[in-house]
Amino acid sequence: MNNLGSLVGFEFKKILHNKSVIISIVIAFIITVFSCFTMIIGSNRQSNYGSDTMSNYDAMLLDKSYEKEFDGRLLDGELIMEASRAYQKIDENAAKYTESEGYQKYARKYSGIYGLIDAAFAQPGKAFNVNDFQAISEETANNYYAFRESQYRTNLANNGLWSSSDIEKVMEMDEHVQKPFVLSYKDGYQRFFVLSMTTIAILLLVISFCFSPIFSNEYTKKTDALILSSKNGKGTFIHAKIVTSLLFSFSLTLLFILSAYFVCMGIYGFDGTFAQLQLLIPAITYDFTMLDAAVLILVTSIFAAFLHTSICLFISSSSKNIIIPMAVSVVLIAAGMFNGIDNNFFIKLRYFLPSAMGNFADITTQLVFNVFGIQIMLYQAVCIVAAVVGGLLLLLSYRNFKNHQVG
Amino acid sequence: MELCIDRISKQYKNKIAVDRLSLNLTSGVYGLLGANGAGKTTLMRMICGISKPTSGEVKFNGMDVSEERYRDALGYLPQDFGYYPEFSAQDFMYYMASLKGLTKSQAKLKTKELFEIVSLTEVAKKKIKTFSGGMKQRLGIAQALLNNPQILVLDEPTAGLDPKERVRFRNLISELGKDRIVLLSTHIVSDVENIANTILVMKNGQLIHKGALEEIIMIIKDKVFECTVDDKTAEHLIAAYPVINMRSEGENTFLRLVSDEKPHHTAVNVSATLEDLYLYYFSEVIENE
Ligand SMILES: Nc1ncnc2c1ncn2[C@@H]1O[C@H](COP(=O)(O)OP(=O)(O)O)[C@@H](O)[C@H]1O
Ligand SMILES: [Mg+2]
Repeated sequence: MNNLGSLVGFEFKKILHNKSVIISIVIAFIITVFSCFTMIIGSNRQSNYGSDTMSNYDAMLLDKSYEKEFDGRLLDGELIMEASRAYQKIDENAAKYTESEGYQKYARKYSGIYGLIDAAFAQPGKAFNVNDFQAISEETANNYYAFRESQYRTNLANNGLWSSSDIEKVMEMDEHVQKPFVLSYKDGYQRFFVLSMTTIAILLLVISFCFSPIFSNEYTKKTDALILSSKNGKGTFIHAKIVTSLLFSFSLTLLFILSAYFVCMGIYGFDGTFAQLQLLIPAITYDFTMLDAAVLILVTSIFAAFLHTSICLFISSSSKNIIIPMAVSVVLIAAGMFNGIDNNFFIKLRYFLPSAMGNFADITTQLVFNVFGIQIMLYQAVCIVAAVVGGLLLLLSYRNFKNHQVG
Repeated sequence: MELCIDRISKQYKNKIAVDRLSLNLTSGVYGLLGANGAGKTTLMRMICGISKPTSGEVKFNGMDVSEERYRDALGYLPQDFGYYPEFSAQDFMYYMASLKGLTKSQAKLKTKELFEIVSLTEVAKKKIKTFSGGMKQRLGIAQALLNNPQILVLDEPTAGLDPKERVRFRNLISELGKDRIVLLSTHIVSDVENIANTILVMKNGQLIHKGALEEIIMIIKDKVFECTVDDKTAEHLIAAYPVINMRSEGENTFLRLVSDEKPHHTAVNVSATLEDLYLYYFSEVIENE
């Protein structure tokens, strides 16, 4: 007789009976949703328009109306020159150019275009500033895409994490990228992607909280003797625990990521869904739409949650202590978010940690990995590694619980 | 039906809890008697496959203790274990039934039947966290019986039961022992005196006696004496013989003690009980407690 279904049901019951788990999920969910609103709450000096103070919400609407004027326009030399001319109207004497009348009246609506192109024209040790933009020549403007490509090439080559064949692989993909870029309003996606770093961190914290006690609770609450002496205790029961944990963490991932997505879309609109990712990261050579990138974040977050859940289960199965698994997973989450060590191995390793896997800025890094002669991209590599390592940890958790000694 | 325990030992860091113990059990009730720390719980854990012996093996009808089929034949009431306090008694039983491989309908039927037996029917829907110690213990006994086990291992099953419940429990065990192996441990002699077909006396991880009540008592038959003497003589006797019982009666002291020969000219030979034997063996432990 197979009891997996009913055992899974009881495992869910055990999790849901844990009030602290439920409270932590609710709090984390509120924080996640709230963080989507932070940019449109209150008012900001930057959005002062003349003498009127503008709320951040109105500023968002204004920006949206400006950017939507450019929807569907091509980012070519002509548009760059048009933007440059608008920027020439900024008063030279203003203390802060963004607060000058000329900027607000003429240049502001072109600020998105300036933001898209400046990185491509930067020189070693010198940023492409507003004055440079005002003085840009027509020839330079027309060659924007060539500048963009060579700039990216140079950056990758100087970085040290890319071999020359890696760079070829990355640049090859650029052939499929639509050029000139087609402009679109995309702030909803931008906000969703920027928030991905905190969303994944919060999600992983909740997962740590839910699953660190999964096995160790049975040890510390002394229910292990009953379980391990029962027929299914050393087999189906452990499967049920693992299945429940994975289902639960998968549901949490969907809940958190999709909530963040739909709340962002609700605030800013779905605009930009089919716009190219280059509007956010001009140098990138992936032929992705914003929607593709959002799906990518969801998928890598699911793998990240799988890996993190497995880590929690593994530590939980090998320790009677509930603090240790919590502490380890918090350290892991933090380690994935902070890039401190100046060592190529550790820099690469960080990308494989769950909190980096669900972070847009990290996962879109175009690192190339060679696996048996096949070149794969970072986002593929991290998913494969998470699946393999996570699977292995689950096997070890299974063995740990099965061989657990009571007394 | 045969449970074979072959020279099993369990060694903790600096303590041998069970020491090369061998035992063959067929159907019947076995009372495992021993003071705290004798190794009863450790032995039972090894029989239930939740603690690996340092050496030796346990087999039931040729099945190894590690097999699923073995666990399927097993019912176990651990000495000190956890319930899920938020579960109702009934949910707990259904959960244990799933763990033991019962179908939903079997679980329902069995739970109802067992709750009648252990008198938990009225509180079946109440959360376990509201239960008294005795109720929890009865629930523990009920779960052990869910899968109609051929081997029933009960570690201190009467702990927390009141006298009335104890009597009922004894009747239940006698009934169950007819066609299965029931091994129950206790440090309370009266728990096993009347229901165990075989008494196993354990001390320092070893079985020191095994046999029917009458056989076991034979060991100290004709060796139990009672006398009432003055304090000075009493002191003398206490130093020389294992004392089972003593109380002061005015200026004198009443003593019940074990001796090969008449210890004092006023001493009279009395019939031995299991309690005498137990106290005889564990007198040092009792004094330490
Ligand atoms: N996990 C353990 N680590 C070290 N010693 C233990 C452990 N479990 C039991 N013991 C020791 O083994 C001996 C037997 O204990 P136990 O089997 O619980 O005895 P009983 O059930 O007869 O009271 C005791 O001395 C106890 O201290
Ligand atoms: Mg014990």
